[in-house]
Amino acid sequence: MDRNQSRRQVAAMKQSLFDQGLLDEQFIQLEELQDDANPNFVEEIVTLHYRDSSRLITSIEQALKERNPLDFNKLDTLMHQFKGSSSSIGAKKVKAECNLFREYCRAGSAEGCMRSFQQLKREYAALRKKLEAYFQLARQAGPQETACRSK
Amino acid sequence: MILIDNDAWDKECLILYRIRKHRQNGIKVDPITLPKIFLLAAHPSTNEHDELKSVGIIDDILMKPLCLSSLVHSYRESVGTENKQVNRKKVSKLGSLLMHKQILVVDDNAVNRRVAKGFLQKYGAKVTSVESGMAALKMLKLPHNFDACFMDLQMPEMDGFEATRKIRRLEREVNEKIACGQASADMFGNICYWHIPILAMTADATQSSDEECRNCGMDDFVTKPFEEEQLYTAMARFF
Repeated sequence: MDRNQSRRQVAAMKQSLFDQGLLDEQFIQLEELQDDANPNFVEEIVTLHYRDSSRLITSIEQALKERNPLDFNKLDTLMHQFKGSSSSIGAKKVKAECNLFREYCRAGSAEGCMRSFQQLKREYAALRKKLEAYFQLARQAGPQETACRSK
Repeated sequence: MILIDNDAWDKECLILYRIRKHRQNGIKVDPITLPKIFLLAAHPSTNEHDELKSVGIIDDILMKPLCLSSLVHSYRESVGTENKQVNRKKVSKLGSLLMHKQILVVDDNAVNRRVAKGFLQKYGAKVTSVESGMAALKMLKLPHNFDACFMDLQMPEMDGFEATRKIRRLEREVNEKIACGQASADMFGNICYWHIPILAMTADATQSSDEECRNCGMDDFVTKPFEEEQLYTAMARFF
């Protein structure tokens, strides 16, 4: 595929992630930290995030199983970490789901927590899939200027 | 505002050279006083146009025939771009603040550590990151070479508040010893008063109060992920 065409595709894919409200400004900040000294910074961070968040999802699932009663403090703490990690990569929608979950924790609503966690997992999986496709395409297109703000 | 017809665009024109020179020396001139330059073209942007725009000679390209709304929009945008230029000045200011400074980042989350490190390194700081309050205490045993410390608040085992309290206690003990002659400053790197700037990193601005941070000995707090301007404002106090 023509180089320029690939790059346009990559840019278009990225733009659509923003348009769909899946990513926010923080993702751009990450891209701005990518340079010759750190050529794969964004992917590195996102990979770290996956490792981190998989672990947290497992912990949260575990904690949600330990009912009678649910330990809302523990859930809130775990979700705080998950949110922090998601914020760092600019995962906008996932972050919003985290906030919702924490509200349910504070309200002491087990039902709410369970429901919002399911939704959160869906959003997380969807974003992960799209980002994986994005990085694959980006790798194929080759190194490019990643800053998408107009100079 | 200056409107130039593309057909009349003449790169040899002396006035345009002068304008370009002023813009390139923009650092010495207040950007607000620079005129906005718009190129009027009959056809959509060409590569040459994009180049002119990206180099900063023109602010934007407008389509002929000119309509009021697009002129207003582009003008507003170019004024908004002014802010970006100002930010770029601040970015290099942050660079001059942080260049070669030794910074300790304390956060239990690997992603946050890596992002914070990447961010600070961009401005020339030398960053060490650790994952717990305990590890931070080890790093900050006196004497040490750190110029500042970013401390996450919520951490397991020892949170940011406790870690900070312990660090201040260590510093107090040494400072008192030096003050009363029990120890001499050259045992502690020739520094007779130790106080490392500690800035809390908080994901939730609402979560912990300013008071709580200051009570345990923190100097300030910043939100994470880092923002250039906020970081500059916070760090400018110390460096």
